Amino acid sequence: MNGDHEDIPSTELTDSGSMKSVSEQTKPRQKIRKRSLPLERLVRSIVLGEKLLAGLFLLIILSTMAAHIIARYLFGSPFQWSEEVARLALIWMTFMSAAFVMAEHRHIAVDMISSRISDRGKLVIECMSYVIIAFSCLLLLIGGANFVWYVGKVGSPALGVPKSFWYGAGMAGLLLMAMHAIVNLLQVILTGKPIPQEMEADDEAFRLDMEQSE
Amino acid sequence: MILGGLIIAMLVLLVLRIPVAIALLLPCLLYVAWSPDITLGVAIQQTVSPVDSFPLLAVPLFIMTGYLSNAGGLADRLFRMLLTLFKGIPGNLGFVNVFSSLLFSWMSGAAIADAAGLGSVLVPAMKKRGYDEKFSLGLTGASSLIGPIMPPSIPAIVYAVSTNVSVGALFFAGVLPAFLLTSILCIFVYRDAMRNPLREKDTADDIAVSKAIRSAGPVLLTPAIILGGILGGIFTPTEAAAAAVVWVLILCAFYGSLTLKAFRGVLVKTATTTGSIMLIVAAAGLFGWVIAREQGPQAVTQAMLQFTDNPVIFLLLVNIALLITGMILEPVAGLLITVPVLLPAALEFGIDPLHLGIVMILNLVLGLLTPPVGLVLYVLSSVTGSSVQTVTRGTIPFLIPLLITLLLVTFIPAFSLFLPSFLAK
Repeated sequence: MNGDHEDIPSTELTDSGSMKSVSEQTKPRQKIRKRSLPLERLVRSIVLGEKLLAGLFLLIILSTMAAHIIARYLFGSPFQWSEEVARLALIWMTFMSAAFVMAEHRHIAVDMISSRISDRGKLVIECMSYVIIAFSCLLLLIGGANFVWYVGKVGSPALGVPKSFWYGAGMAGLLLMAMHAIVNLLQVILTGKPIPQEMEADDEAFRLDMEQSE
Repeated sequence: MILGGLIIAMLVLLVLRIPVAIALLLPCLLYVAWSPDITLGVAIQQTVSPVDSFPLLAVPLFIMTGYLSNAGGLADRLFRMLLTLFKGIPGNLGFVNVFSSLLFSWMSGAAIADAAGLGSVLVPAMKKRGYDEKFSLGLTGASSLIGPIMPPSIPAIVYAVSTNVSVGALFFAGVLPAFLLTSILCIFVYRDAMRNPLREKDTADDIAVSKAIRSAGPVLLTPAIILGGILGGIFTPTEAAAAAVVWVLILCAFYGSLTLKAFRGVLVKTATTTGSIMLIVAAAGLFGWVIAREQGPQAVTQAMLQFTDNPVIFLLLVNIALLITGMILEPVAGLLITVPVLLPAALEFGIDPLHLGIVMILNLVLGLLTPPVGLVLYVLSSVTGSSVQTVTRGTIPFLIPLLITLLLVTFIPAFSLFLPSFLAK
């Protein structure tokens, strides 16, 4: 199962350059960890794919909204399709992003206890949280499948796009989130280390400069 | 009974560090699975459909505006302009701190970016110029809260969408409270400068001033597009957000300040932030539906009406409850959880949803500055190297101006309702 994906070059996932297509990446395979984890390559390419899709859907939102404004001013009314396309892109962007954010263990959570428990306790809690995440996602996925199957063929008002494209984003996102939770769980169990989850304060910060340049 | 169970399950999951979205989702899923007359099909419908919203499209677009103007060096241009403008005025770095937050707030609603940026650059400079460390830290933290109050504000979009009020109207409801906070903070800076008169003396020359303004002028057109566009009825907030992104992209291209790699970084960061917020929006959709089905809002309204029929006391209770919520939850999550319960009660007391929205946002945003989960405190500590205790002690005096703002906005509805009344219908 792993072998099928040996040919995919590894890319840096945490790096901002990850939106680059795989073939453009010239960096050597320096980021591979010493101990290879199960399906690591596969998971990395899935995360890269999720980022690519999320970025693509963001660009679709931006360009359809730009077209929407232009059409409204040029022709007096927006395109019939622009609003619907943008909303569909938002749903897909949401769930694709939610999936890779899950892989990076960066979903918003409340940290009230970590300063009060041992490292071992933290690991146990992290593992438990992956189990609960995977369970919740799979429960909704399996429980909702029947419904999506039935309403899936109904077309949307403007474009006639089947509803399954709408709910499909949620289903795909839930499946990917459950998968990432299980993979993270395995990784924590196998390495005995938590999934790194940096605060990213420096990364988010406004980059300002006190020196007055000319 | 069932409601109590749901809330307790949610709290337990939150304490166990389960992501907020899942902590909201799981108890509701179990409720739906247990209920004999509904299927989980309802659950998937109620989680996907909240995201399917035209006004919410503004969320990723405004987030992108913020990241783009940072990556393209536009925030830095504003910062340099302020440094030049305030040169020579007593307390200049303090004013630069407050006004940077104000100018940034028109392009980005992120308190974290503001606190981290000013914390890493301005706080060391202030310390070097003889400002008290705690004062500098507290001022940076307090002024960073202007961002999520001033439009464009992500919490405002989320509140407006979940209560069906106009996003544009709520944006303008936040303008005066944000200016109120800005002016109170300026008084603090002025008072501090009067107490320590011997700090900086160098003055800016006229050439430098005009140059700085010319360099930042086009950047200042971004808020003009967003706020002017919405106020003038030219753009819906979503369209204004798209126009702002396009304008910022044009500026970046003009200045040649954005590499392709940085642009890809902006896309990934925007997706990351959007994904974490919107997943909570999705889960809160189901949560709100379950709460409504179990008649939660009616129960809360009944309890409130039995306790008091005075809107002022009701608002005070809301403030206390929300301050506590804000201490634990991040603002957007806090809003999504409390809005379905509080809004019907507020309407019963005759409180305008716009007014309630700004009061709720102010309350929850204050939580960014208070332990145990004050995000801005941790960010400031991490970028400045000061301990969390020092940062916390520095922010305590600044809770006073924040609470003054909160009380004024709570009890004088005109602060939030005056500007929206001008909005083009």
